[in-house]
Amino acid sequence: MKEELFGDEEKILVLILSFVLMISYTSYSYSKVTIRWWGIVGGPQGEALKALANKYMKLNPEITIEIREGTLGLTDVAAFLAAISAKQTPELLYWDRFTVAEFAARGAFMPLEEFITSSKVIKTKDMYAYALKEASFKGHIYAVPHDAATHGLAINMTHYKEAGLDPSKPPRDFEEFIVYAKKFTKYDDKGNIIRCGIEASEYFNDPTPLVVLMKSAGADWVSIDGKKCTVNDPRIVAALEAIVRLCDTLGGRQKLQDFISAQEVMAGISYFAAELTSQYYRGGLWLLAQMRRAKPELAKSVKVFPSPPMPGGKPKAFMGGFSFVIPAGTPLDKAKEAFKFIEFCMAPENILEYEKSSTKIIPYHSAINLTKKELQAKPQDFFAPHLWKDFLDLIRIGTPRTPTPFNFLMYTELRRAVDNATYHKMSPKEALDQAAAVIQKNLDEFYKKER
Amino acid sequence: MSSFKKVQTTAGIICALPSILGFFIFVLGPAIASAYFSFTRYTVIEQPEFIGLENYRSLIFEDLFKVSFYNTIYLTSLGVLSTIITALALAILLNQKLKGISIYRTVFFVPSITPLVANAVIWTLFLNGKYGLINYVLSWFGINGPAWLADPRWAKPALIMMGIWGVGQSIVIYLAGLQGIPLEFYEAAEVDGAGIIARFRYITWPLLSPTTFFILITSTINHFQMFVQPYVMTQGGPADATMTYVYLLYNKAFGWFKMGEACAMAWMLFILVITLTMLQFYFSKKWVHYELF
Amino acid sequence: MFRRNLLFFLAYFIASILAFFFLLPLWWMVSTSLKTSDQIFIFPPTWYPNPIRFSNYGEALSKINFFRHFSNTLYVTLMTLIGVFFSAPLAAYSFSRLKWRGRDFWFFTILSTMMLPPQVTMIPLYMIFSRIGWIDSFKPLYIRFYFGPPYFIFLLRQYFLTIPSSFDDAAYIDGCSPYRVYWSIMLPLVKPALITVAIFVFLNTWNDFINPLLYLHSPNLYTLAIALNIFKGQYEVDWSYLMAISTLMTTPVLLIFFLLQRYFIRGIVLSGIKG
Repeated sequence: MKEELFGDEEKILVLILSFVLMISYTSYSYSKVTIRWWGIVGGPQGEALKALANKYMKLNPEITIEIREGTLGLTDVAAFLAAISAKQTPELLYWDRFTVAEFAARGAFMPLEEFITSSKVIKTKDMYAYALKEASFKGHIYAVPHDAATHGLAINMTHYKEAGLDPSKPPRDFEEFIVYAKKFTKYDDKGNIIRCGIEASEYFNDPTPLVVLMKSAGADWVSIDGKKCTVNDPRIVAALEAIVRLCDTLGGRQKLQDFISAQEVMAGISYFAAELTSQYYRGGLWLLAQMRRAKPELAKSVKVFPSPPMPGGKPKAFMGGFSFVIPAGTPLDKAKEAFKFIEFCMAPENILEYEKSSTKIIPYHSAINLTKKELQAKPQDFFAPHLWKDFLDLIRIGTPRTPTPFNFLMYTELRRAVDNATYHKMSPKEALDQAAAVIQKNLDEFYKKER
Repeated sequence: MSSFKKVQTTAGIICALPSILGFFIFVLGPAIASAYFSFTRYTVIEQPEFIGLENYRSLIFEDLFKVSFYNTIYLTSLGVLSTIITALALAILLNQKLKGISIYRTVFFVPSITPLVANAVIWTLFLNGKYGLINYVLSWFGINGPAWLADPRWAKPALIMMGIWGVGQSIVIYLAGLQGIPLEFYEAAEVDGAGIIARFRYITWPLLSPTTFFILITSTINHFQMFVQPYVMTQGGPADATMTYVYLLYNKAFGWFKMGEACAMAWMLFILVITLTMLQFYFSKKWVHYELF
Repeated sequence: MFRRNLLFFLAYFIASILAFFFLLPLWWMVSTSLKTSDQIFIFPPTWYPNPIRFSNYGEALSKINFFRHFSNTLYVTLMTLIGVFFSAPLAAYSFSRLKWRGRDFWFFTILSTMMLPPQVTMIPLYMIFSRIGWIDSFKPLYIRFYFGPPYFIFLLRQYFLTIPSSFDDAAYIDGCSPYRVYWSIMLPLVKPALITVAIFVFLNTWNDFINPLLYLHSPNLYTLAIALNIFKGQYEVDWSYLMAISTLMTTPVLLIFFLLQRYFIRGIVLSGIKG
């Protein structure tokens, strides 16, 4: 029984461990005015935002902007919710405008009208109407729109020419789009897709093409008062039927899904930027950043048009983007400091700098005019200036996703409806009825409480 | 003897004290809070509003809840079984005195160490219907493999196959358990002319039963809480085929402002798992042998 | 003898084939970290980098404060390790070798805490730490482990239970106290299990993502898993940098495992018994 528990080696290890223990970390102390800023993710957009913060700190040495590295998805939302319940929210957030309303509706964000009315830089009149709509809920403005990406049909002109089509004449409506898509799609001898006429992932990872088609047909997912869910509107059912037809024409959902399952491997960029697909139904400005990194020469053979609408409908350009938000409960003096930084980001020279490096636009009339002028004066400063021009042109048909207290849930349910319909588990009507029932139940609960 | 009993009791309580304290400090409060939330409508942003059993009632009638429950039962029953079988087989293999075995042991632990994204990428390459490695191997036997993650019927089996890759931790636990089996037992058995199967049946399996029991319990708990795979790879798709119980719970809690329902789900799962665990403990008396020598 | 050789050969053969598959993610990680960006976008993907680009490492390192994040990660891991080694074997010993009233009740209670999905206790727990003022510090990440982590208690309990009771009986007759039995007899006997625990603690803490994301806000406190976020954007991922840092991050864990697994050699427990 004489075996020692620890040999000499282990004793030394324990000594080292105790030493490490003694080197204690002191907690971070705030000596200056600190603005904690959350919601920034990596990539070119994150870098551009960090550059703005650094520049601001250099000009205002008494201010510290502390950026917390975020992630996409719900993990970051969880962190914010935890901070709310502990009453330790940051002073500034960078938030996807798509879900501003649902957090504002529950009192998480501070109404910003007072700041905006007294501001010399940020004016509601200057904002594009669609951006203002997304930033507002029930008559209050909860977010300062910062950037946006217009979406349109991006086509690969080389593929068009190969298929004997004229790249200056894109499909006029979605039915024609299906016919075109079939022409571009190539199969191996077993019928597996090796090149695709559509960017298949965009139809399944989220339901945005369905939403664009819905808007083009003049329909919306809730009634005007926002209390009734209308995703089973016949026009939306027709749109989903068209998407099912598209999948079936190209060989079925399963074949398409298998084709896109390696998207991860494609370095997280779209197949379009890798020349594996010929048309991107809702290609956004971010495509520029992807091409800039992966295939700069590809930009020359790309052209952007409005996404083809439902037959008889009007083309609409879906626009999404991020906003500045100040959480409710932020002390007024801190909120003022945060707002000063927001104003700084909207200064003309900062706008241009941000746009060029993030390949996003700032959805304000003055900013867009500025960008257009700069694009004419210094096209060499922009990556693929001709595509910038195409994307800027799309703003006039820009449309927001209608704010509701359940936009995230709305997207989940629509995505499930697309899944259920394209896998032929249900008819498009049944799938959308199911989605409508779920959302209606939530809306009823919400408005019952509000009264 | 009574003073011995006293000493044992005192020592027992002292040794367990940090853990019991931990239960009171870090677990009990949050657990009670979540139990309370399960009877409320709670968005986290606003104050909870008491609604009685409403969350439980509406969950039982919710389609997606039922789907996620079915998926989770499916994944758990097959997943636990395949984990135990593969881990045991590999651990026995890795317990042989072979040259370079330490390298092999490390290799089998690799997928447990490498970042999730790297694993996810490799799996998408494996499982792809067209050029995936698995279907390539199947084609040698004339089998036309399915599109796995793209096919609602095959997505769950695909997740179970992926799970096999993560058995590194269970292998290590088994390896540690195998060290406790005296070599003499095998030598004696060999003298008696026992074959490999007999040796496994009468020595390895019973002597490893405490380890197997541990893996059975923890792996059941882990599978019931399966979250990472749908979160990283499938987002619950295709057509809800991989929508697991906890992935749905997570969406409800942080995406759909339904922390109340999420807590109700958590407590329903808790009651199910604790019942199963108690049953497993009860039946373990029949097949788990401690102190064989 | 021939049969034994054949078995050995078979074992090698099977192990090698399986090993190949298990190595692929590691291979993919390292090869991606050495690729030029145009190689990353080749489809279908290539399995080896050509030409090899070592400068990915230098560039990735210049983008984050690697050594800061590395030492943060190390600190949290070591503190967790100490906590687990302090509380888990002690509780496991109590729950398996000592006889006291309510023992099984407490064991089961502590075990049952694993069964409630952590997603619902996350926010209440966060509030507790916020009330103590520990948000944006390392403490919430490791303090829990000083108070009995149920998984490791259960694991060690299983190993303690396999030790014959004649061992403690003999010691008690010699006049040893329960603490003496714990320290001098029981702990050395479950050494392989302790090694297992060490490996798991190291691995889980090293790669933990959710908790650091929740509790660490200041960039100078980030662990490596969080610092990596900088390479992940909304529409694109910097694979080569991400994988370069991941490779640097994974290497210590692999090394630790390789060094520790040598303790899994048959006979350690027996030699203890014989002594």
